Amino acid sequence: MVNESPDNILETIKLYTYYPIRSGNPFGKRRSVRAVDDVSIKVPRGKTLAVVGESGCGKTTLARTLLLLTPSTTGDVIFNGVNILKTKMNPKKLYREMQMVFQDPDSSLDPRVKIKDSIAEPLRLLEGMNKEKVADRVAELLTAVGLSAEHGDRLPAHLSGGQKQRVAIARAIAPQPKLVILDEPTSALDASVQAQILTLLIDLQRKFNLTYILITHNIAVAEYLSDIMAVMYAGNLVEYGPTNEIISKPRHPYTITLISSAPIPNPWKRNLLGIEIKGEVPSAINPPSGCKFHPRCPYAEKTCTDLNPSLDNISANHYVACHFVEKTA
Amino acid sequence: MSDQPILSIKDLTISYETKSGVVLAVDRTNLDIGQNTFIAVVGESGCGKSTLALSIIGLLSMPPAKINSGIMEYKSVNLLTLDPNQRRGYRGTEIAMIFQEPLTSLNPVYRVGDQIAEAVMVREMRKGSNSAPSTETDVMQKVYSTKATYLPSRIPKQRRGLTKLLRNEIIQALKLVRIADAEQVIERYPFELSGGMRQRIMIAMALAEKPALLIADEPTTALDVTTQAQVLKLMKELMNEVRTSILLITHDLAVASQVADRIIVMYAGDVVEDANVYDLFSEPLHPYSKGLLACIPSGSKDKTTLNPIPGTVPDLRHPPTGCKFASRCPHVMKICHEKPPPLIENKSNHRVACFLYGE
Amino acid sequence: MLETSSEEEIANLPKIQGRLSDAFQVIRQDKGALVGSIIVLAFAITAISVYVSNFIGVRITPYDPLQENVGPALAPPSLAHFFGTDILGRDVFSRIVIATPADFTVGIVVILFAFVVGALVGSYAAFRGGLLDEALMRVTDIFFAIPALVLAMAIGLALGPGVTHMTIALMIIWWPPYARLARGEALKVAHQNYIEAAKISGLGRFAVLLKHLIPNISITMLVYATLDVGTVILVYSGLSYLGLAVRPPHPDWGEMVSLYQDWMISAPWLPLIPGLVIALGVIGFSLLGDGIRDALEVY
Repeated sequence: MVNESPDNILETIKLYTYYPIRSGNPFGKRRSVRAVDDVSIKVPRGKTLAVVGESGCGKTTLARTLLLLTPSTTGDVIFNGVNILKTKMNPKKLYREMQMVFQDPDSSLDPRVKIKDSIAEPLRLLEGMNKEKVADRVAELLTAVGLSAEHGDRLPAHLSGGQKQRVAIARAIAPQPKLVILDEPTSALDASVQAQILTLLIDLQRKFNLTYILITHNIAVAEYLSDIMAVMYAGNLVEYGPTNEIISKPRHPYTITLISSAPIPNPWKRNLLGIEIKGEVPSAINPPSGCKFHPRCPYAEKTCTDLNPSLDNISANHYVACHFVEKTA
Repeated sequence: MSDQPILSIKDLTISYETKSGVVLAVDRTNLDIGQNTFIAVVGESGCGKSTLALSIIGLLSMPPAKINSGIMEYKSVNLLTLDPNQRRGYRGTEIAMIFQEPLTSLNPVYRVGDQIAEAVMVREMRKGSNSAPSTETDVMQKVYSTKATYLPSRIPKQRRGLTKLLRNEIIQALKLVRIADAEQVIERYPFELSGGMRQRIMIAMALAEKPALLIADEPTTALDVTTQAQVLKLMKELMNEVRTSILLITHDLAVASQVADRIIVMYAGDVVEDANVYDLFSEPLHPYSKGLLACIPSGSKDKTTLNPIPGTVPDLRHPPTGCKFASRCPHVMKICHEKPPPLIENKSNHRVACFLYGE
Repeated sequence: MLETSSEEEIANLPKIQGRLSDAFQVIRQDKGALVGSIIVLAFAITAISVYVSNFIGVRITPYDPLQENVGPALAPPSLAHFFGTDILGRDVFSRIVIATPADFTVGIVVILFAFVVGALVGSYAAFRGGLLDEALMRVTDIFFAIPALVLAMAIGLALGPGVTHMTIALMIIWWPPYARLARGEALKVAHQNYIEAAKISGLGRFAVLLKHLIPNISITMLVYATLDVGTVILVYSGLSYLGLAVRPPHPDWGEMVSLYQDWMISAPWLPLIPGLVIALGVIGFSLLGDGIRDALEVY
């Protein structure tokens, strides 16, 4: 996989992130959580990739691995042409180009620090700006996310959830990154506030030519915001392709289950009541053998218990990891 | 199915005393719950839906909360006039509730089977005596065969004995909520089970007494999408099997549209619209309902636009005179700032509180 | 889509913003904090005055505290002798006053040291985790295993008696509980997203610790610390009582309680007054601490 297309701002190649579990017994068998288990994705510049999945699927660990917050086990991550896992680099260089908006607006801001100082932090450290420049830029950023200068003087406790999330976004775009990872940016917000934040995100993407990696379990939001989708299950990438294709015709049995479980705001189309879903998400420490979805899959056969399927290209840019994908055509 | 509502709330007003002032959480709310129906109360944070739910089950902490006015009639008894002991008699027996976070709803130090046993025990006891619902003290004394109301050292032993006695009933309760390996699950502790499993157990315990009304406060918000679908489907099926009514509190209009027969939209403590689910989606009347529907992302950004509602929820410590939605309403008129609109019946069974539709 | 704050909103914002300057406001409003700060201030002024007067060689107490027979022996409190006199005719009030710098300062110095060292050690252990965490915690365990007083005595005997040596001994044994507390709090805080956000803002690990981790664990530790000052004074008084700190005839509050206990019945003011002074110190700090804690709390 040497020729990476210049259109891809980021590419992961066979990325694995396992982390050991601290058990009380120092002599016991070493066990690991297989959080990211062989994930290879490409993120085109200027587009939005949604990484969807449920709890324990590894999407948050994937995001943290890309930002070097969690050490990877093996694999490569090529960002802007540079292999950031294998090249020795000053992390500051990376963070000038890649940033993150964290999941919970309540815990992503230091409760003792004023808003304007929270936003100023990356400006001082990553951009090395002096005081006046910082003040100007903070004012610019506050306006860009729809807040006023007065908000900058407050503490996080005096802001609403939506306002805090705007601050988190302002801080993330402060060093003018090319790639922003959004970890469940609206999951903790009300519907009307979510709509405001989503609109803001689209606005900012157009204005500043940003690339987004959106981590979410909300299919509706993923469908709305993203161009490409990657579906993860228990650490594995099971389906990957254009969003509209995956939503309208999901091919992996898990994706089918996932898409059909998403509640549609339409009382005449009650998809939820018709589905039959077996079982629950497997343990990340002791996953099922072979294909991790096989105990719950209506199409499973003997091969599925023995062999973990790799990604097959089923149509232009659309990949599915399933031994019997023809069954869902 | 009779036409008489099992629960009828009229003019309910609840306020909270906080450090920074008195918050008007629920403002003159009117609401009826029929037999064997699924009602969803939909609204965003601070709209008063959780306060409303807690007041129905009687779990509001009475300071700082205060019920300023209103009647809550359940089977011709005004629940608000009962004293705490009498009120407790209805809890769990006639009206049951499940909460958002199943991990904190179950006691982490007791096995799951032992906790269900307690719920089942109360039901079996009530079958014996057909008098008014027992109080907590009676139950404790009968169950644990002790004169004292609380003897911590004896309870674990008694509990295990109880579980053995009621094993069949407990397994039946778990089978009702479609838990396959009930025999093993009984022996587990809550932390060993998944969120979805714990929520099912909560439902099993809540329905043990076959209550007439089950209140569910955001029961699936903390669950995965696929688990949420399973639990919602279960609740809908159980509603018919157990012949109970369900009052679902949620912020997710999409979820409500999938399961509810009727939707009540609340905003800043007021009921702004109350309609059959099909009517609400085909013809939303209140500007807030319309705004809320327009906020739900559906389709790609390239093909659809999201129209967020401008502005923010008013500060309930200093509520505005007039309609609370006036500052954000695209159709605001002069009268909207002067007095609050009453909840009127616009069409058959479709009520709305908005001056656009008359006074 | 600009969100502007309405005047009303701004007016309704809480006034306390979690800064130290807010402490003054809290103290003015909260009676407990006010009383506490008055008490601590009174002690502080006394201590400073005595220290300065010693330095320049002027006596500020009504009588020479070491001088015997400045009045009749065992005289009860009166205008001439505010706290009465002891068996040797020494003025009790002067003795109390002269003992203030040592007792007052010990409390503050030891707690300050314990707080700072404990916060750094504990939060660093939590931050790094792994083997380092285990190692540091085992070190603190060693300190926990030995009773405080015994250890202080041992150090005292090794270094020789004296106020400075005892203060050092106390400092050495006092920090482990703070490290434990800091570690516990830090573990909670370390997983908060703003710590991660600080890392991707370019902050180095140690800077994250100082700027974000420690300020957020400080409030819990502060509550513990203010209650603890009194304990230090008590333990130090105990050491004095054993003769390890201040040597007679130089007075010390704890030493006075021990010395005067024989007169509990015949001249009760003698043992009671130093005891009350110690109690007052403990109460003063704890009330003041509550006030500071309230001021630093962010709502």
